Amino acid sequence: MSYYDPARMPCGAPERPGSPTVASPTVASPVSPTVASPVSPAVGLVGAPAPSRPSPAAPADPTRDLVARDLVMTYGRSGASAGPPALGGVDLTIRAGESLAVMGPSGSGKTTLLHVLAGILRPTGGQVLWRGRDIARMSDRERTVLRREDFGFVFQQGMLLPELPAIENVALPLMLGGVRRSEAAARAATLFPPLGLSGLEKRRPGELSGGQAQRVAIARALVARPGVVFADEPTGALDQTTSAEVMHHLTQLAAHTGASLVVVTHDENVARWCHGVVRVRDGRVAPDAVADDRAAAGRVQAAPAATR
Amino acid sequence: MRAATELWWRLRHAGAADNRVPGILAVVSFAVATAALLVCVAGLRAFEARNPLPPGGLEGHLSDEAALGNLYVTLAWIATTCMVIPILTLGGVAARLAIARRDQRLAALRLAGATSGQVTLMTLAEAAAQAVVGALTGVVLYLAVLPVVARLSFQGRPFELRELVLPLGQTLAVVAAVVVVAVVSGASSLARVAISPLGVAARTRPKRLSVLRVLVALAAGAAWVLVITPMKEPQRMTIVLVLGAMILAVNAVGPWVVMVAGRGAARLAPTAATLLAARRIADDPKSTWRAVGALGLAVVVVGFTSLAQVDDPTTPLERYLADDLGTGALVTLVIITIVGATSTGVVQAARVLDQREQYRALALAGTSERSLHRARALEVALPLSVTIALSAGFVLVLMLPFTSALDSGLVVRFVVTSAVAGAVVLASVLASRSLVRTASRVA
Repeated sequence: MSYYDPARMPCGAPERPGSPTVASPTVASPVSPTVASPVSPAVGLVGAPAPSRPSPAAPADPTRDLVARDLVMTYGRSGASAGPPALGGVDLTIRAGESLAVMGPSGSGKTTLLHVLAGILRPTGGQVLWRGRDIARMSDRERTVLRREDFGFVFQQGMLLPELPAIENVALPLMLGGVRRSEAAARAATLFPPLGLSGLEKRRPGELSGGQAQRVAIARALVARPGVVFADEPTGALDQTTSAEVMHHLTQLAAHTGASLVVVTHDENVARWCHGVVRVRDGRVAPDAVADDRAAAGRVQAAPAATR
Repeated sequence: MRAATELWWRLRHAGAADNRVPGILAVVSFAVATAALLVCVAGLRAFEARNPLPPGGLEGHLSDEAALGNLYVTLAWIATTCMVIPILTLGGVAARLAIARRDQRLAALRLAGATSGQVTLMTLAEAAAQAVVGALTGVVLYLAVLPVVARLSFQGRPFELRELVLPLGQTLAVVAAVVVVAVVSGASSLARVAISPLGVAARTRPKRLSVLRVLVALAAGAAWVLVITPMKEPQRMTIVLVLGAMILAVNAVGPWVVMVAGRGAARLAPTAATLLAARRIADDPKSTWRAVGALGLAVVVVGFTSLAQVDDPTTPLERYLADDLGTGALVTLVIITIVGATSTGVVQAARVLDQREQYRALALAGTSERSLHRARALEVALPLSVTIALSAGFVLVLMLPFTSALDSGLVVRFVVTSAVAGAVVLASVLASRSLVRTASRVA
């Protein structure tokens, strides 16, 4: 079987939350004629049904989920000179196979939250549990390996290496992890057709459009079959139609590979592609802004201010 | 024009922090190029002053002593010809650096209404200003190393400082030459990019180098065989001109060979670091060649001169010649190594600055700093080791028929010095390790 099996492709957009409070009815649908709407049934990629979403009511499972407990992040030196905390006590659970949008105004702490969850920043306090281990207590080396093997990243602008053709950009994470080149290239190649990139394998990033480059970046993020994909403003440099295409592919492919997805965005239309939304304000998850049924299940919580 | 000049001045200060490192790199390159050029010219002048042409010039009958003196001057010219091209190349590298780092500000100037001509003029003025600062620094550097150069002994006596100090006019001429090289290289770099208000043209697939380069090199090789070889006593200037043409031809074919080799290596590269290195080599074969080509040539020249033995020296002057050939070859190698190392170090540092966002993205995605360092080291080490091995092998194979005359001690010395020169150029990559560390810092 090839690395990517179209027969296992999920059916259209991910299952939507029951009552998406963030998906304002006044927001224009990001639907383009060829792209599945986040709220429509399957369009485009067809096949077996999508992997079912875990039950929201089930308790967090630290051996499978990404669990943040009481995260605090303060920049600068501690003491009187330290500024207000970038994260002021955040509890969050990202289920295996689920997608979560993190929204908030500039400076609210959403990118800091993503960096802490991804092991890029070490939090000042609290825990980030991934498969039973606390990322916050890992050494730099361990976190580097973790980011390479367990996590995938999509940035605002592809950040592809200009001297490598698209296929080699995608194969690179596997090769860095010690996979043989021929196998890495073969596995990378299976991701091109479902992302609508057939025929572009040998193009350089400078020869791709913004949307194409971002889809190559998605393939690169997912090629090593990560447990979680972190996307920081993945559509920030794209127009609405291209954004919809990119989010369609990102959510589809993440769902297919069983990866969880954390998307930092300021765009409601982008957030609508995710199972759930949390809003960050002044370094805390706003208690009134948990966008789906997870608040009721106690899985996304604002930390009590008094404890900080 | 005035408004644009004012804006340029403001941007100059606003972008000072971002442009400080590239600016320093450019000035250092200009300084090293100028100092090396001044040392070459000073040495050449000293040899000419020591060995004046006899009355009647070269046409008349020369005494053995005068003929030997004349040989020294010819050898000095050959060494200078070998050194001048890499030195001027370093000047070109510095100029490109001065231009390339201006991308965002050039675009901002165009947005503010500056015409393409105004932007070109301002950019060249800035490159020229850096060249002047660098060249004047180079003069100071040259004066500082003179006492070291003066310790070298040729023809049985060390140089005196006054032999090596160039007159003010000649010094200024060298400074002016460096500035002219900067402006010409800068203008040719600018001609290749389209500066629109939205930025400098994006990088796509690099152009393939033409196979014409190979034909040019073959033609130059044929010229050497057809013009110089049949001459019984070739004129010094003829040798210098044809040798110069040969070096230029080798410089034309070198990047083509590097490109072909880089593409081959990229196809076969088994690891990520090798793949990255090979793709970068194939993408920019000219800058790879700039780093290694001069050294390859130096190894050939040094090989022939240091391994050549003077048969049964009879006079004291002939005995000096054997030693002096070795010393001269070593000096040539040292200067070319310093110039090559500066060029490599600067190109590598500039590349890290250009790609700092990609470095950060790679680090975020779990690429260890060690892998990044390894890819950069390979990018230089692969072509360098191949070039040195080919050059040294070429010399040794050609000298094999004279094995009886070959002194194994000299062969060992030649191989060791070549390896050390390569190691020094490779070590120049280490100079930008801290830039990689900064660029790939994830938190």
